Amino acid sequence: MKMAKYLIAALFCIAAAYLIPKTFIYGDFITGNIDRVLHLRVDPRFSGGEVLAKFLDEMGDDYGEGGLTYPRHEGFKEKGCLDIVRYTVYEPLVNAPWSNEQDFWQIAITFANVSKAFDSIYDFSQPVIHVYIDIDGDIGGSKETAHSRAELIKFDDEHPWDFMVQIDGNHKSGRLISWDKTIEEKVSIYSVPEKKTIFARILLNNKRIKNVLDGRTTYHYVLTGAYDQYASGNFMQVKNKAGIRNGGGAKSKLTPRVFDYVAPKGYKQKKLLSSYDEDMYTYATVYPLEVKRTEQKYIQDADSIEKYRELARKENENRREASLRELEEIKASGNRGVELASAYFRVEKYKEAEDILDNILEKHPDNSRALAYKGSIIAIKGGECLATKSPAKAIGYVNTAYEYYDNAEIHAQNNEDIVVVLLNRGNLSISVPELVFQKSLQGAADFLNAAEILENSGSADKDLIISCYYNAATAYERAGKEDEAEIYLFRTLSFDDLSHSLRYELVKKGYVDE
Amino acid sequence: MLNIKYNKNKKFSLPASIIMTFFIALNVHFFVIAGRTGLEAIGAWILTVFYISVYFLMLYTGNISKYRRIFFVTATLIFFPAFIAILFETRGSMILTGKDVFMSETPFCHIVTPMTIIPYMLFKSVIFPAQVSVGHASIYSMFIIWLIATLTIGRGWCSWICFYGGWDEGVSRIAKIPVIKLDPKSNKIRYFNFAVLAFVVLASLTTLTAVYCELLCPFKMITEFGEITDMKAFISTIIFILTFFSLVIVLPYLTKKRFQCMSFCPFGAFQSLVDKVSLYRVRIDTEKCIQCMKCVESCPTMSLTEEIIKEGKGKSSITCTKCGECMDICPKGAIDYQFAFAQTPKNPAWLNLAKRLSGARGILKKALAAMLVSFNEIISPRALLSFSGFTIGMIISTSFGLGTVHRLLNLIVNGSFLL
Amino acid sequence: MFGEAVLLGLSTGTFCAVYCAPVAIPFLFSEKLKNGKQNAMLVILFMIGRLIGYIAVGITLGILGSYAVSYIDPEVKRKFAAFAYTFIGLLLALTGLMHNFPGWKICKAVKKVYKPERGAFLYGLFTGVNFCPPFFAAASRVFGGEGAFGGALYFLLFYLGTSVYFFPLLGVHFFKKYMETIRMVSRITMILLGLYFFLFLGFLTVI
Repeated sequence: MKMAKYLIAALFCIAAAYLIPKTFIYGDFITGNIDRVLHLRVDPRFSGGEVLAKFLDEMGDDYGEGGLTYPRHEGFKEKGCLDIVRYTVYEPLVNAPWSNEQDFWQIAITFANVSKAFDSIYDFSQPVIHVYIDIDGDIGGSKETAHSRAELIKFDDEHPWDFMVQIDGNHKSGRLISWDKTIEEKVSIYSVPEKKTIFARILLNNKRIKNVLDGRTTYHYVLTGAYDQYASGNFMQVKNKAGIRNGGGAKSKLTPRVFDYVAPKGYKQKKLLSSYDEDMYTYATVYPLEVKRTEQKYIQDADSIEKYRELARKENENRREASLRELEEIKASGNRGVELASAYFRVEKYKEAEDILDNILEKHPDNSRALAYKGSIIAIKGGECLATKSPAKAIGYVNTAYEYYDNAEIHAQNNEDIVVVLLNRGNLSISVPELVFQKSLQGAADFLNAAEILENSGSADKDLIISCYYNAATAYERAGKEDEAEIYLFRTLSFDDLSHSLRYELVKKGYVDE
Repeated sequence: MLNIKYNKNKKFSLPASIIMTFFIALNVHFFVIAGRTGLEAIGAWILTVFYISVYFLMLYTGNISKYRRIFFVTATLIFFPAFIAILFETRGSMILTGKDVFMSETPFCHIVTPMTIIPYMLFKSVIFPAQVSVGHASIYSMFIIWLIATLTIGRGWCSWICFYGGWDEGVSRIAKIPVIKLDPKSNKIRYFNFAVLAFVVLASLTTLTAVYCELLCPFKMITEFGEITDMKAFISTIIFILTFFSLVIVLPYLTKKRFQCMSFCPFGAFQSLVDKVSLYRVRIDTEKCIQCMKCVESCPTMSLTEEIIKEGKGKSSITCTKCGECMDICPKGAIDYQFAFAQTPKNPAWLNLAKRLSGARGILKKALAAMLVSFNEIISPRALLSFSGFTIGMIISTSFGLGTVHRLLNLIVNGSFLL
Repeated sequence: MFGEAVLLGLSTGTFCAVYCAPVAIPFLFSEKLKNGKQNAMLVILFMIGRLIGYIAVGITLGILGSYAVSYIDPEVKRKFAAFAYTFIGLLLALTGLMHNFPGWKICKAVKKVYKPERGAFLYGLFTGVNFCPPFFAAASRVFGGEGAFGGALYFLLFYLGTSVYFFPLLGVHFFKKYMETIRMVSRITMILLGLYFFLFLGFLTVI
């Protein structure tokens, strides 16, 4: 009896010892499942408070009233450096831990791109951001901009602003002023180029600003222009033609000097920024974003999940049939090249595909596409290895696959070849365990690169472009970069005709079916 | 005739040592070598040879604690240079900036765990600004490591896994004899870290920040620390410098005890409290014990007291870190690891059979006897504990340990420690 | 309306526990409790102290005229907290020292005036002064015009709602098995906590 007990204990301990390394290898899987129960998150007080509201703004709308172009100055050659993609407002925070500021209210502006072009203090040089805030219940307020002849806009009659925050990378700190100029405070700035985001912390020193602590509603106008040291409000002029010190594409003298503005739901930026009246000589009117305490983000909708699951299943069936037909056609045409291999690959006949690819590579070892597909087939073998419990082998396969991709990238002849490589490599990057390989960020970059090439070349395959953005979002999500993921999910959603399978993925994530 | 009596000094037979080392080698291969290229691969091989030889010697000589110490101290020593180098590479200094905090990029270490549990239960959030799930120093990866370690070796964490513990373990072995002899009866010294634990848990609950990290942790000296911006930061800087030199360097040297681990580290106290769920215990065979008190003297955490030995309790106190020091020193081989849920049988049937077979003629029978002896050794608690402890310790220290070896090679080849 | 008061207390009571547990737990564990009755007595005294602390704050704010504002100014709150923690810290540290080093002169002096019952009341009083955010929510409701009686009742119900979280403290005397060790550990914890509260949450936040 005693011996049996001992043997059982030993067996148990052997099993435990055997499972130790496995736990690490399958760490992602285990973490994912534990997270479903624990929902760990870092206390938001460390990162500037709970997010109160988030406003996503279309990427690529940094054209102001519609046709504005960046100044010709060297510093503005970076695409998207004036393009706001998200504006975030946080809950005001008191007694912030481990922070240089004690009581503050944080806002964050995310750009499509941030770069340091001039000799600026912070990591972003080009934009000047003005956030005008109307705090409910504050007496007075102004409907005109803080500096005359700066942005060339006026504000909604209902919501005159009480405070204005100026943020730019060229002053040591941001500035908050009240409409009557009786209050002037510093605003701390943190630029985080990795997140393409600028954080500003409005210090809650003044009694009137402290009012936000009770959670009243506030209204925000978020405007960005090109930074000019000498211009009024630092908003650079815009003229008909772009110059070194002025933006171009302005249709009128009254064209707002605003390159990007976060329009509230139901309004269009183009329309609002061109609502000036030349005859009456009135500026364009802009409307604010409403920031309320009860902001509900996304809701899961069981019905549409079910609906799209079914539609997606049918769509995939159709696709497979189409792929099979395509395969037959290529076979019939006598083509024995990479096209046939990729057709086999698409219908998951890897053995056949590999044979053809080996054949091609024997004769042309530099064939980029063949190398790329061969890489993917090797990666699939790695996946099978992982399933049959030999992780060390699987790692070997995956590493070899990456070598093939990198080789393929070197030998790519044209953009199409590069896209094939990027998509193959990206797909692998978002399917291998992140804890072991940490490839998700590379995957995201690959998909975004592919999307850019496809868009620039005017590709007709819209579905492919959309899926690139979606996969980039997935990759960011896997890498724990939720903020970036959100931007590209929004980009995906901004396309009109999404495929059913993509819709299905999106509704599963909680995006409302509109 | 084969020496099949379980040795007093608990040596493992050659076949058993080789078999166990083979399994460790598989793990080392996966976690250290696989997927490395260039200089890093050379570093990985150096580290692998070290790991495998130390583990083999640990079993083959039977001196568990001695080789464990070599492994443990080395793992600690090679952990920090890379850690600090990475800080310099990414942010240019060891100072934790406001940006790191609000980007939640502070590495999560195990000592934070006990402070975060109650606030998490109450407010569903972790009161430490670390990455939740991405990277090696994320909250989840540390949580998983902690869970596995606790379920297997329990407080053995402090002797096998902790990447800080090697410091005072190393320093405590420098002097030949203790300059200050601590009173082994002093409960206040032995249980002081429980008070530190209670203090940091309650204080963290009050302020909802990790108070130990903010204020006390000696190891900020060799990892990262806050900028001195106000009086509070100034005082906490003085405190961590003082605690590092006093608790990690001076007192361990003078007392020959692991002072920081024994009486200050709140995580050690926490592990003692959760050790009940672990698979292994340290047991004293009261029949064999001659009460020479060598174990009491040698215990680096004062977990064995004269009282325990004299009263014949047969087990160490809850603060035992399962380091194996007492087993190495016991002249009678009376102390050993044991499974938590079963006693080690004195004369198991398979060993009796081996005894009979080894006396018989014929190579096959002798081989079978050797196999049975190996079998007995491999399923022994000491083999399995050392295997588990070594595996987790190796995994947790590899990423930075290898980083250090890699950087050292880079220093030799390219002239720079930073990559 | 009065159900709402209890619910508010219940739902936000965790905050109150967070503010009070770090003081109440080491204190209760450091005392040599004779029986459950004494334990309960100490908890009740603590609670009474806390109620009086709340009321004192309410009156002070009333005199200062600041309760009318609909938000709570962090500066004012910090001053109350610093005041409370300075005293709690001193009290904890002194009692801790008294338990650990009875031979010291200062400890002898403390011992003369110290009684567990007095300690419980004072701890309660000062944790009450360091009021938690939900308390303010309830208090502003009271001052918001429910009428004197209705307001007081509302507040009392809220207070009772939060008190549910103090029930576990009644079980302290059940920890008999390792009581000696726990008491010893608690008494050291008291000193550490006392010094921390006094220096870092009290003294340093004021200067």
